Amino acid sequence: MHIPDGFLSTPVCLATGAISIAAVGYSVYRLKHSLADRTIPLAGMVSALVFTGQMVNFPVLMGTSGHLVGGVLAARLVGPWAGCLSLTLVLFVQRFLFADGGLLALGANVFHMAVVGAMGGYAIQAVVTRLLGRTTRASVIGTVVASWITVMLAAFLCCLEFALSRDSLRGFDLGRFLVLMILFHAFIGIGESLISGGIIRMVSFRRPDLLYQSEPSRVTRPGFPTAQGLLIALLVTICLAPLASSLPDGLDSAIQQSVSVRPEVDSPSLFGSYEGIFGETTWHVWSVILSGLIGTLVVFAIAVILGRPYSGSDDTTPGDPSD
Amino acid sequence: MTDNARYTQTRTFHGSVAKLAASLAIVLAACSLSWEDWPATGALLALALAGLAVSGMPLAELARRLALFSPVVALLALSIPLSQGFSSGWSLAATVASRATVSFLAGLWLIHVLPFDEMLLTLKRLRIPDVCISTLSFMHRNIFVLWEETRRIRTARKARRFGRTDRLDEWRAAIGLIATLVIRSLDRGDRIHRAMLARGWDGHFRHWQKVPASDPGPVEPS
Repeated sequence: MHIPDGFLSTPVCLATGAISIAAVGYSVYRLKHSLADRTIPLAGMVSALVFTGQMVNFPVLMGTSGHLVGGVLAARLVGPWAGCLSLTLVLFVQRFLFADGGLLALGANVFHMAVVGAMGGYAIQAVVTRLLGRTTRASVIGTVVASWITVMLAAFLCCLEFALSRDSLRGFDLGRFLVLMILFHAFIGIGESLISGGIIRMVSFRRPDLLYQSEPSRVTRPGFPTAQGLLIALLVTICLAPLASSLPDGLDSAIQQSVSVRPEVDSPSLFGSYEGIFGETTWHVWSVILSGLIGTLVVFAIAVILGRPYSGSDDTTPGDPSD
Repeated sequence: MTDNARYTQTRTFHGSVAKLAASLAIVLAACSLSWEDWPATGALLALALAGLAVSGMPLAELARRLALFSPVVALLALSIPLSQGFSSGWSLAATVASRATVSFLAGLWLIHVLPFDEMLLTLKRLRIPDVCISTLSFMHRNIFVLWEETRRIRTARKARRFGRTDRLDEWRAAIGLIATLVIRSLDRGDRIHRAMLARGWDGHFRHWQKVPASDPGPVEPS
Protein backbone atom coordinates (compact mmCIF):
# COMPACT_ATOMS: atom_id res chain seq x y z
CA MET A 1 0.00 0.00 0.00
CA HIS A 2 1.48 3.30 -1.07
CA ILE A 3 1.66 6.18 1.37
CA PRO A 4 -0.62 9.00 0.18
CA ASP A 5 0.16 12.69 0.64
CA GLY A 6 -0.87 14.04 4.03
CA PHE A 7 0.16 11.04 6.11
CA LEU A 8 3.70 12.32 6.59
CA SER A 9 4.78 15.94 7.12
CA THR A 10 6.57 17.88 4.40
CA PRO A 11 10.00 17.90 6.17
CA VAL A 12 9.84 14.11 6.66
CA CYS A 13 8.85 13.68 2.99
CA LEU A 14 11.80 15.86 1.95
CA ALA A 15 14.21 13.96 4.21
CA THR A 16 13.13 10.55 2.92
CA GLY A 17 13.21 11.97 -0.60
CA ALA A 18 16.82 13.06 -0.11
CA ILE A 19 17.79 9.57 1.11
CA SER A 20 16.01 8.02 -1.86
CA ILE A 21 17.69 10.35 -4.38
CA ALA A 22 21.09 9.48 -2.92
CA ALA A 23 20.36 5.74 -3.03
CA VAL A 24 18.94 5.78 -6.56
CA GLY A 25 21.80 8.02 -7.73
CA TYR A 26 24.31 5.55 -6.33
CA SER A 27 22.44 2.68 -8.02
CA VAL A 28 22.65 4.47 -11.39
CA TYR A 29 26.37 5.09 -10.80
CA ARG A 30 26.95 1.39 -10.04
CA LEU A 31 24.90 0.31 -13.06
CA LYS A 32 27.05 2.37 -15.42
CA HIS A 33 29.97 0.15 -14.45
CA SER A 34 28.26 -3.22 -14.08
CA LEU A 35 25.56 -3.28 -16.78
CA ALA A 36 26.78 -0.47 -19.07
CA ASP A 37 24.74 -0.60 -22.29
CA ARG A 38 22.38 -3.26 -20.86
CA THR A 39 21.12 -0.88 -18.15
CA ILE A 40 18.22 0.63 -20.09
CA PRO A 41 16.78 -2.53 -21.70
CA LEU A 42 17.25 -4.70 -18.61
CA ALA A 43 16.10 -2.21 -15.96
CA GLY A 44 13.28 -1.05 -18.24
CA MET A 45 12.06 -4.59 -18.84
CA VAL A 46 12.24 -5.52 -15.15
CA SER A 47 10.36 -2.33 -14.25
CA ALA A 48 7.64 -3.25 -16.74
CA LEU A 49 7.65 -6.80 -15.35
CA VAL A 50 7.22 -5.70 -11.73
CA PHE A 51 4.55 -3.23 -12.79
CA THR A 52 2.63 -5.95 -14.65
CA GLY A 53 3.25 -8.46 -11.85
CA GLN A 54 1.64 -6.04 -9.39
CA MET A 55 -1.52 -6.06 -11.50
CA VAL A 56 -1.97 -9.81 -10.96
CA ASN A 57 -4.34 -10.21 -8.01
CA PHE A 58 -4.15 -12.86 -5.31
CA PRO A 59 -7.47 -13.64 -3.58
CA VAL A 60 -7.30 -13.13 0.21
CA LEU A 61 -10.54 -12.98 2.21
CA MET A 62 -14.10 -11.80 1.73
CA GLY A 63 -13.64 -10.60 -1.82
CA THR A 64 -10.45 -8.69 -1.05
CA SER A 65 -7.21 -9.33 -2.90
CA GLY A 66 -3.54 -8.56 -2.56
CA HIS A 67 -0.68 -8.22 -4.97
CA LEU A 68 3.07 -8.49 -5.24
CA VAL A 69 5.32 -5.62 -4.10
CA GLY A 70 8.34 -6.99 -5.91
CA GLY A 71 11.37 -5.32 -4.29
CA VAL A 72 13.12 -8.54 -3.31
CA LEU A 73 12.00 -10.27 -6.52
CA ALA A 74 13.50 -7.51 -8.70
CA ALA A 75 16.74 -7.53 -6.69
CA ARG A 76 16.94 -11.33 -6.97
CA LEU A 77 16.52 -11.12 -10.74
CA VAL A 78 18.80 -8.21 -11.65
CA GLY A 79 20.72 -7.36 -8.49
CA PRO A 80 20.28 -4.65 -5.87
CA TRP A 81 21.21 -1.64 -8.03
CA ALA A 82 19.03 -2.41 -11.04
CA GLY A 83 16.33 -3.63 -8.62
CA CYS A 84 16.36 -0.31 -6.77
CA LEU A 85 16.18 1.66 -10.04
CA SER A 86 13.39 -0.58 -11.36
CA LEU A 87 11.22 -0.22 -8.26
CA THR A 88 11.78 3.55 -8.30
CA LEU A 89 10.59 3.74 -11.89
CA VAL A 90 7.58 1.54 -11.10
CA LEU A 91 6.57 3.91 -8.30
CA PHE A 92 7.13 6.91 -10.56
CA VAL A 93 4.90 5.49 -13.30
CA GLN A 94 2.24 4.48 -10.79
CA ARG A 95 2.24 8.04 -9.48
CA PHE A 96 2.24 9.87 -12.81
CA LEU A 97 0.13 7.46 -14.83
CA PHE A 98 -2.37 6.20 -12.25
CA ALA A 99 -2.19 8.77 -9.39
CA ASP A 100 -1.26 5.90 -7.05
CA GLY A 101 0.64 7.13 -3.98
CA GLY A 102 1.53 10.66 -3.00
CA LEU A 103 3.46 13.27 -4.95
CA LEU A 104 5.32 14.57 -1.91
CA ALA A 105 5.37 11.08 -0.41
CA LEU A 106 7.02 9.61 -3.52
CA GLY A 107 10.40 9.82 -1.78
CA ALA A 108 9.08 7.93 1.25
CA ASN A 109 7.52 5.25 -0.96
CA VAL A 110 10.78 4.87 -2.90
CA PHE A 111 12.66 4.64 0.40
CA HIS A 112 10.42 1.86 1.70
CA MET A 113 9.97 -0.22 -1.44
CA ALA A 114 13.06 0.44 -3.57
CA VAL A 115 15.79 1.20 -1.03
CA VAL A 116 14.65 -1.02 1.86
CA GLY A 117 12.76 -3.46 -0.38
CA ALA A 118 15.30 -4.04 -3.14
CA MET A 119 18.67 -3.06 -1.64
CA GLY A 120 17.90 -4.16 1.93
CA GLY A 121 16.06 -7.24 0.69
CA TYR A 122 18.99 -8.28 -1.46
CA ALA A 123 21.39 -7.90 1.47
CA ILE A 124 19.17 -9.99 3.76
CA GLN A 125 18.63 -12.76 1.22
CA ALA A 126 22.35 -12.83 0.44
CA VAL A 127 23.20 -13.31 4.13
CA VAL A 128 20.53 -16.01 4.60
CA THR A 129 21.54 -17.80 1.40
CA ARG A 130 25.16 -17.76 2.46
CA LEU A 131 24.37 -19.08 5.93
CA LEU A 132 22.30 -21.94 4.49
CA GLY A 133 24.79 -22.99 1.84
CA ARG A 134 24.05 -21.41 -1.57
CA THR A 135 21.64 -24.08 -2.80
CA THR A 136 18.33 -23.54 -4.56
CA ARG A 137 16.54 -24.21 -1.30
CA ALA A 138 18.74 -21.68 0.49
CA SER A 139 18.05 -19.13 -2.24
CA VAL A 140 14.28 -19.60 -1.92
CA ILE A 141 14.42 -19.45 1.89
CA GLY A 142 16.56 -16.30 1.62
CA THR A 143 13.97 -14.70 -0.65
CA VAL A 144 11.12 -15.67 1.68
CA VAL A 145 12.88 -14.33 4.78
CA ALA A 146 13.99 -11.14 3.02
CA SER A 147 10.49 -10.47 1.68
CA TRP A 148 8.93 -10.78 5.11
CA ILE A 149 11.58 -8.72 6.90
CA THR A 150 11.53 -5.90 4.34
CA VAL A 151 7.75 -5.57 4.59
CA MET A 152 7.97 -5.44 8.38
CA LEU A 153 10.88 -3.01 8.25
CA ALA A 154 8.95 -0.74 5.88
CA ALA A 155 5.96 -0.79 8.27
CA PHE A 156 8.21 0.06 11.20
CA LEU A 157 9.86 2.90 9.30
CA CYS A 158 6.45 4.19 8.25
CA CYS A 159 5.38 4.40 11.93
CA LEU A 160 8.65 6.10 12.83
CA GLU A 161 8.18 8.66 10.07
CA PHE A 162 4.57 9.16 11.17
CA ALA A 163 5.77 9.92 14.72
CA LEU A 164 8.41 12.32 13.42
CA SER A 165 5.76 14.05 11.32
CA ARG A 166 3.69 15.09 14.31
CA ASP A 167 4.71 18.04 16.46
CA SER A 168 2.73 16.65 19.35
CA LEU A 169 1.32 13.20 19.95
CA ARG A 170 -0.50 14.18 23.14
CA GLY A 171 -3.18 11.64 23.94
CA PHE A 172 -2.01 9.37 21.13
CA ASP A 173 -0.36 6.09 22.00
CA LEU A 174 2.23 5.54 19.29
CA GLY A 175 3.08 2.09 20.63
CA ARG A 176 -0.43 0.80 19.98
CA PHE A 177 -0.39 2.27 16.47
CA LEU A 178 2.95 0.56 15.86
CA VAL A 179 1.56 -2.76 17.09
CA LEU A 180 -1.48 -2.47 14.79
CA MET A 181 0.65 -1.60 11.77
CA ILE A 182 3.14 -4.38 12.46
CA LEU A 183 0.32 -6.88 12.96
CA PHE A 184 -1.40 -5.82 9.75
CA HIS A 185 1.84 -5.91 7.76
CA ALA A 186 2.81 -9.28 9.22
CA PHE A 187 0.02 -10.79 7.09
CA ILE A 188 1.00 -8.71 4.05
CA GLY A 189 4.58 -9.90 4.59
CA ILE A 190 3.48 -13.55 4.62
CA GLY A 191 1.70 -13.03 1.29
CA GLU A 192 4.70 -11.25 -0.19
CA SER A 193 7.01 -14.03 1.03
CA LEU A 194 4.85 -16.76 -0.50
CA ILE A 195 4.56 -14.98 -3.85
CA SER A 196 8.25 -13.98 -4.14
CA GLY A 197 9.50 -17.33 -2.85
CA GLY A 198 7.16 -19.24 -5.20
CA ILE A 199 8.27 -17.24 -8.22
CA ILE A 200 11.99 -17.57 -7.42
CA ARG A 201 11.52 -21.31 -6.83
CA MET A 202 9.89 -21.80 -10.24
CA VAL A 203 12.45 -19.64 -12.03
CA SER A 204 15.30 -21.45 -10.22
CA PHE A 205 14.17 -24.80 -11.56
CA ARG A 206 13.19 -23.70 -15.06
CA ARG A 207 15.79 -21.05 -15.90
CA PRO A 208 18.41 -20.60 -13.15
CA ASP A 209 20.57 -18.59 -15.56
CA LEU A 210 18.08 -15.72 -15.29
CA LEU A 211 18.75 -15.17 -11.59
CA TYR A 212 21.30 -12.56 -10.59
CA GLN A 213 24.70 -13.96 -9.75
CA SER A 214 26.76 -11.54 -7.72
CA GLU A 215 30.20 -10.88 -9.08
CA PRO A 216 33.04 -11.67 -6.67
CA SER A 217 34.33 -8.57 -4.97
CA ARG A 218 37.53 -7.11 -6.32
CA VAL A 219 38.83 -6.90 -2.76
CA THR A 220 38.90 -10.54 -1.75
CA ARG A 221 40.84 -10.06 1.44
CA PRO A 222 41.17 -7.25 3.96
CA GLY A 223 43.45 -4.86 2.18
CA PHE A 224 44.31 -1.21 2.07
CA PRO A 225 40.73 0.14 1.65
CA THR A 226 39.56 -1.85 4.67
CA ALA A 227 42.49 -0.67 6.79
CA GLN A 228 41.84 2.88 5.61
CA GLY A 229 38.20 2.68 6.69
CA LEU A 230 39.14 1.25 10.07
CA LEU A 231 41.75 3.97 10.60
CA ILE A 232 39.24 6.73 9.79
CA ALA A 233 36.66 5.18 12.15
CA LEU A 234 39.23 4.96 14.95
CA LEU A 235 40.37 8.55 14.39
CA VAL A 236 36.78 9.80 14.47
CA THR A 237 36.25 7.86 17.71
CA ILE A 238 39.37 9.31 19.33
CA CYS A 239 38.62 12.88 18.25
CA LEU A 240 34.87 12.98 18.87
CA ALA A 241 34.36 10.61 21.81
CA PRO A 242 35.47 13.17 24.43
CA LEU A 243 32.80 15.51 23.08
CA ALA A 244 30.03 13.03 23.94
CA SER A 245 27.36 14.77 26.00
CA SER A 246 27.06 13.84 29.64
CA LEU A 247 23.32 14.46 29.48
CA PRO A 248 21.03 11.43 29.09
CA ASP A 249 19.90 10.56 25.55
CA GLY A 250 16.27 10.74 24.41
CA LEU A 251 15.26 7.29 25.60
CA ASP A 252 17.04 7.64 28.97
CA SER A 253 15.49 11.05 29.48
CA ALA A 254 12.00 9.75 28.67
CA ILE A 255 12.45 6.84 31.07
CA GLN A 256 13.70 9.16 33.81
CA GLN A 257 10.71 11.45 33.35
CA SER A 258 8.11 8.70 33.20
CA VAL A 259 9.44 6.33 35.89
CA SER A 260 9.14 7.90 39.32
CA VAL A 261 10.88 5.15 41.30
CA ARG A 262 14.28 4.16 40.00
CA PRO A 263 15.70 0.76 40.89
CA GLU A 264 18.30 0.81 43.60
CA VAL A 265 20.72 -1.44 41.75
CA ASP A 266 21.51 -0.97 38.10
CA SER A 267 21.26 -4.06 35.94
CA PRO A 268 24.65 -5.56 35.15
CA SER A 269 26.03 -4.56 31.76
CA LEU A 270 29.48 -4.61 30.25
CA PHE A 271 29.08 -1.09 28.86
CA GLY A 272 26.28 0.11 31.13
CA SER A 273 28.09 3.42 31.35
CA TYR A 274 31.01 4.75 29.34
CA GLU A 275 32.84 5.48 32.55
CA GLY A 276 32.17 2.01 33.83
CA ILE A 277 35.54 0.65 32.80
CA PHE A 278 37.57 3.02 34.91
CA GLY A 279 34.97 4.30 37.33
CA GLU A 280 36.92 7.45 38.31
CA THR A 281 35.73 10.83 37.09
CA THR A 282 39.32 11.90 36.42
CA TRP A 283 39.51 9.12 33.85
CA HIS A 284 36.33 10.22 32.19
CA VAL A 285 37.86 11.27 28.86
CA TRP A 286 40.15 8.26 28.57
CA SER A 287 37.42 5.82 29.51
CA VAL A 288 35.11 7.28 26.86
CA ILE A 289 37.85 7.01 24.20
CA LEU A 290 38.69 3.43 25.22
CA SER A 291 35.05 2.40 25.27
CA GLY A 292 34.57 3.97 21.83
CA LEU A 293 37.65 2.17 20.47
CA ILE A 294 36.51 -1.20 21.81
CA GLY A 295 33.02 -0.66 20.37
CA THR A 296 34.42 0.33 16.97
CA LEU A 297 36.71 -2.72 16.85
CA VAL A 298 33.88 -5.09 17.84
CA VAL A 299 31.59 -3.66 15.15
CA PHE A 300 34.44 -3.87 12.64
CA ALA A 301 35.05 -7.51 13.51
CA ILE A 302 31.35 -8.34 13.01
CA ALA A 303 31.34 -6.48 9.68
CA VAL A 304 34.44 -8.34 8.50
CA ILE A 305 32.97 -11.72 9.46
CA LEU A 306 29.60 -11.05 7.81
CA GLY A 307 31.04 -9.14 4.87
CA ARG A 308 33.49 -11.75 3.61
CA PRO A 309 33.04 -12.49 -0.10
CA TYR A 310 31.67 -15.85 -1.08
CA SER A 311 34.28 -18.55 -1.52
CA GLY A 312 34.26 -20.18 -4.91
CA SER A 313 34.69 -23.66 -3.46
CA ASP A 314 30.98 -24.46 -3.36
CA ASP A 315 30.22 -26.41 -6.49
CA THR A 316 26.48 -26.57 -5.98
CA THR A 317 24.78 -24.49 -8.64
CA PRO A 318 21.45 -22.73 -7.99
CA GLY A 319 19.72 -24.93 -10.51
CA ASP A 320 20.99 -28.22 -9.18
CA PRO A 321 17.95 -30.51 -9.35
CA SER A 322 19.28 -32.56 -6.46
CA ASP A 323 18.44 -29.69 -4.05
CA MET B 1 5.13 17.53 -36.28
CA THR B 2 6.68 14.91 -33.98
CA ASP B 3 6.30 15.07 -30.22
CA ASN B 4 9.92 15.92 -29.78
CA ALA B 5 9.83 18.69 -32.36
CA ARG B 6 6.63 20.08 -30.93
CA TYR B 7 8.21 20.01 -27.54
CA THR B 8 11.16 22.11 -28.53
CA GLN B 9 8.75 25.01 -28.42
CA THR B 10 9.48 26.89 -25.21
CA ARG B 11 5.83 27.58 -24.61
CA THR B 12 4.98 23.90 -24.21
CA PHE B 13 7.87 23.37 -21.81
CA HIS B 14 6.93 26.36 -19.67
CA GLY B 15 3.32 25.24 -19.66
CA SER B 16 4.30 21.76 -18.47
CA VAL B 17 6.52 23.17 -15.74
CA ALA B 18 3.70 25.50 -14.65
CA LYS B 19 1.32 22.52 -14.41
CA LEU B 20 3.82 20.56 -12.34
CA ALA B 21 4.43 23.56 -10.08
CA ALA B 22 0.70 24.24 -9.66
CA SER B 23 0.00 20.65 -8.66
CA LEU B 24 2.91 20.61 -6.25
CA ALA B 25 1.81 23.94 -4.74
CA ILE B 26 -1.70 22.60 -4.03
CA VAL B 27 -0.25 19.46 -2.45
CA LEU B 28 2.16 21.50 -0.32
CA ALA B 29 -0.63 23.85 0.78
CA ALA B 30 -2.98 20.94 1.58
CA CYS B 31 -0.30 19.16 3.59
CA SER B 32 0.31 22.24 5.72
CA LEU B 33 -3.35 22.41 6.83
CA SER B 34 -5.04 20.42 9.54
CA TRP B 35 -8.64 19.33 9.88
CA GLU B 36 -9.42 22.48 11.90
CA ASP B 37 -8.49 24.65 8.89
CA TRP B 38 -11.45 23.26 6.97
CA PRO B 39 -12.31 26.53 5.12
CA ALA B 40 -8.85 26.65 3.52
CA THR B 41 -8.94 22.91 2.85
CA GLY B 42 -12.38 23.31 1.28
CA ALA B 43 -11.07 26.13 -0.93
CA LEU B 44 -8.21 23.92 -2.14
CA LEU B 45 -10.64 21.06 -2.75
CA ALA B 46 -12.85 23.40 -4.81
CA LEU B 47 -9.81 24.60 -6.75
CA ALA B 48 -8.74 21.05 -7.58
CA LEU B 49 -12.29 20.08 -8.61
CA ALA B 50 -12.56 23.23 -10.75
CA GLY B 51 -9.28 22.32 -12.43
CA LEU B 52 -10.59 18.83 -13.18
CA ALA B 53 -13.85 20.28 -14.56
CA VAL B 54 -11.97 22.73 -16.81
CA SER B 55 -9.62 20.00 -18.02
CA GLY B 56 -12.67 18.09 -19.26
CA MET B 57 -12.18 14.95 -17.22
CA PRO B 58 -15.29 12.75 -17.59
CA LEU B 59 -17.31 12.43 -14.39
CA ALA B 60 -17.40 8.64 -14.72
CA GLU B 61 -13.59 8.52 -14.87
CA LEU B 62 -13.34 10.75 -11.78
CA ALA B 63 -15.82 8.53 -9.92
CA ARG B 64 -13.90 5.40 -10.93
CA ARG B 65 -10.60 6.84 -9.73
CA LEU B 66 -12.16 8.01 -6.45
CA ALA B 67 -13.69 4.58 -5.93
CA LEU B 68 -10.23 3.02 -6.20
CA PHE B 69 -8.57 5.63 -4.01
CA SER B 70 -11.14 6.05 -1.22
CA PRO B 71 -10.94 2.59 0.41
CA VAL B 72 -7.14 2.82 0.66
CA VAL B 73 -7.18 6.22 2.36
CA ALA B 74 -10.17 5.28 4.53
CA LEU B 75 -8.32 2.18 5.74
CA LEU B 76 -5.17 4.14 6.47
CA ALA B 77 -7.01 6.99 8.23
CA LEU B 78 -9.22 4.62 10.24
CA SER B 79 -6.21 2.62 11.39
CA ILE B 80 -5.23 5.65 13.53
CA PRO B 81 -8.35 5.70 15.80
CA LEU B 82 -8.59 1.89 15.55
CA SER B 83 -5.17 1.57 17.15
CA GLN B 84 -6.40 3.71 20.07
CA GLY B 85 -9.57 1.67 20.59
CA PHE B 86 -11.58 4.44 18.88
CA SER B 87 -11.10 6.65 21.95
CA SER B 88 -8.82 9.19 20.27
CA GLY B 89 -7.05 9.90 17.00
CA TRP B 90 -10.18 10.96 15.11
CA SER B 91 -8.86 14.46 14.49
CA LEU B 92 -5.59 13.04 13.17
CA ALA B 93 -7.51 10.65 10.92
CA ALA B 94 -9.66 13.47 9.54
CA THR B 95 -6.53 15.55 8.87
CA VAL B 96 -4.86 12.68 7.02
CA ALA B 97 -8.01 11.97 4.98
CA SER B 98 -8.62 15.62 4.02
CA ARG B 99 -5.00 16.22 3.05
CA ALA B 100 -4.82 13.00 1.05
CA THR B 101 -8.08 13.71 -0.81
CA VAL B 102 -7.08 17.22 -1.91
CA SER B 103 -3.60 16.00 -2.91
CA PHE B 104 -5.08 13.07 -4.84
CA LEU B 105 -7.38 15.38 -6.83
CA ALA B 106 -4.47 17.74 -7.58
CA GLY B 107 -2.42 14.75 -8.75
CA LEU B 108 -5.31 13.50 -10.85
CA TRP B 109 -5.60 16.90 -12.52
CA LEU B 110 -1.88 16.82 -13.27
CA ILE B 111 -1.94 13.43 -14.98
CA HIS B 112 -4.99 14.48 -16.96
CA VAL B 113 -3.46 17.71 -18.30
CA LEU B 114 0.13 16.46 -18.66
CA PRO B 115 0.42 13.31 -20.78
CA PHE B 116 3.16 10.89 -19.80
CA ASP B 117 5.35 11.48 -22.86
CA GLU B 118 5.21 15.23 -22.25
CA MET B 119 6.11 14.62 -18.64
CA LEU B 120 9.20 12.69 -19.74
CA LEU B 121 10.27 15.46 -22.11
CA THR B 122 9.75 18.03 -19.35
CA LEU B 123 11.89 16.00 -16.96
CA LYS B 124 14.54 15.70 -19.66
CA ARG B 125 14.61 19.48 -20.05
CA LEU B 126 14.83 19.76 -16.25
CA ARG B 127 18.13 17.83 -16.43
CA ILE B 128 16.92 14.58 -14.90
CA PRO B 129 19.61 11.97 -15.84
CA ASP B 130 19.13 10.59 -19.33
CA VAL B 131 19.41 6.98 -18.15
CA CYS B 132 16.30 7.45 -15.97
CA ILE B 133 14.27 9.09 -18.76
CA SER B 134 15.29 6.50 -21.35
CA THR B 135 14.57 3.60 -18.98
CA LEU B 136 11.19 5.10 -18.12
CA SER B 137 10.41 5.45 -21.81
CA PHE B 138 11.47 1.83 -22.43
CA MET B 139 9.41 0.66 -19.48
CA HIS B 140 6.34 2.62 -20.57
CA ARG B 141 6.49 0.98 -23.99
CA ASN B 142 6.88 -2.52 -22.57
CA ILE B 143 4.18 -2.33 -19.90
CA PHE B 144 1.56 -2.72 -22.62
CA VAL B 145 3.52 -5.50 -24.33
CA LEU B 146 3.78 -7.46 -21.08
CA TRP B 147 0.17 -6.82 -20.21
CA GLU B 148 -0.84 -8.37 -23.52
CA GLU B 149 1.49 -11.28 -22.75
CA THR B 150 -0.19 -11.69 -19.34
CA ARG B 151 -3.60 -11.82 -20.97
CA ARG B 152 -2.41 -14.45 -23.42
CA ILE B 153 -0.98 -16.64 -20.63
CA ARG B 154 -4.16 -16.22 -18.61
CA THR B 155 -6.37 -17.14 -21.56
CA ALA B 156 -4.27 -20.21 -22.29
CA ARG B 157 -4.51 -21.33 -18.66
CA LYS B 158 -8.28 -20.85 -18.62
CA ALA B 159 -8.58 -22.88 -21.81
CA ARG B 160 -6.75 -25.78 -20.18
CA ARG B 161 -8.52 -25.64 -16.82
CA PHE B 162 -11.74 -27.48 -16.00
CA GLY B 163 -13.92 -27.59 -12.94
CA ARG B 164 -13.90 -25.51 -9.79
CA THR B 165 -10.70 -24.23 -8.25
CA ASP B 166 -10.00 -23.34 -4.65
CA ARG B 167 -7.98 -20.42 -3.33
CA LEU B 168 -4.77 -22.45 -3.16
CA ASP B 169 -5.08 -23.33 -6.85
CA GLU B 170 -5.61 -19.67 -7.70
CA TRP B 171 -2.48 -18.70 -5.79
CA ARG B 172 -0.49 -21.42 -7.53
CA ALA B 173 -1.81 -20.29 -10.90
CA ALA B 174 -1.00 -16.63 -10.20
CA ILE B 175 2.54 -17.49 -9.03
CA GLY B 176 3.02 -19.65 -12.12
CA LEU B 177 1.73 -16.84 -14.30
CA ILE B 178 4.20 -14.30 -12.91
CA ALA B 179 7.07 -16.83 -13.06
CA THR B 180 6.29 -17.50 -16.73
CA LEU B 181 6.12 -13.77 -17.30
CA VAL B 182 9.53 -13.35 -15.62
CA ILE B 183 11.13 -15.89 -17.97
CA ARG B 184 9.48 -14.56 -21.12
CA SER B 185 10.11 -10.89 -20.31
CA LEU B 186 13.79 -11.36 -19.44
CA ASP B 187 14.26 -13.37 -22.63
CA ARG B 188 12.46 -10.64 -24.54
CA GLY B 189 14.68 -8.00 -22.91
CA ASP B 190 17.75 -9.94 -23.98
CA ARG B 191 16.48 -10.22 -27.57
CA ILE B 192 15.69 -6.50 -27.66
CA HIS B 193 19.16 -5.70 -26.33
CA ARG B 194 20.81 -7.78 -29.04
CA ALA B 195 18.62 -6.15 -31.69
CA MET B 196 19.58 -2.74 -30.34
CA LEU B 197 23.28 -3.68 -30.48
CA ALA B 198 22.82 -4.79 -34.09
CA ARG B 199 21.50 -1.31 -34.84
CA GLY B 200 24.43 0.51 -33.28
CA TRP B 201 23.23 0.86 -29.69
CA ASP B 202 25.98 2.22 -27.44
CA GLY B 203 23.98 2.98 -24.32
CA HIS B 204 22.61 6.37 -25.39
CA PHE B 205 19.34 7.29 -27.04
CA ARG B 206 19.59 9.74 -29.91
CA HIS B 207 16.79 12.08 -30.90
CA TRP B 208 16.28 13.46 -34.38
CA GLN B 209 16.26 17.21 -34.45
CA LYS B 210 13.54 19.07 -36.28
CA VAL B 211 14.79 20.34 -39.65
CA PRO B 212 12.95 23.16 -41.42
CA ALA B 213 11.26 22.12 -44.68
CA SER B 214 13.32 24.66 -46.63
CA ASP B 215 16.61 23.18 -45.40
CA PRO B 216 17.95 20.97 -48.18
CA GLY B 217 20.64 19.37 -45.98
CA PRO B 218 20.47 15.82 -44.65
CA VAL B 219 18.99 15.08 -41.22
CA GLU B 220 21.77 14.42 -38.73
CA PRO B 221 21.43 12.76 -35.38
CA SER B 222 22.15 15.12 -32.50
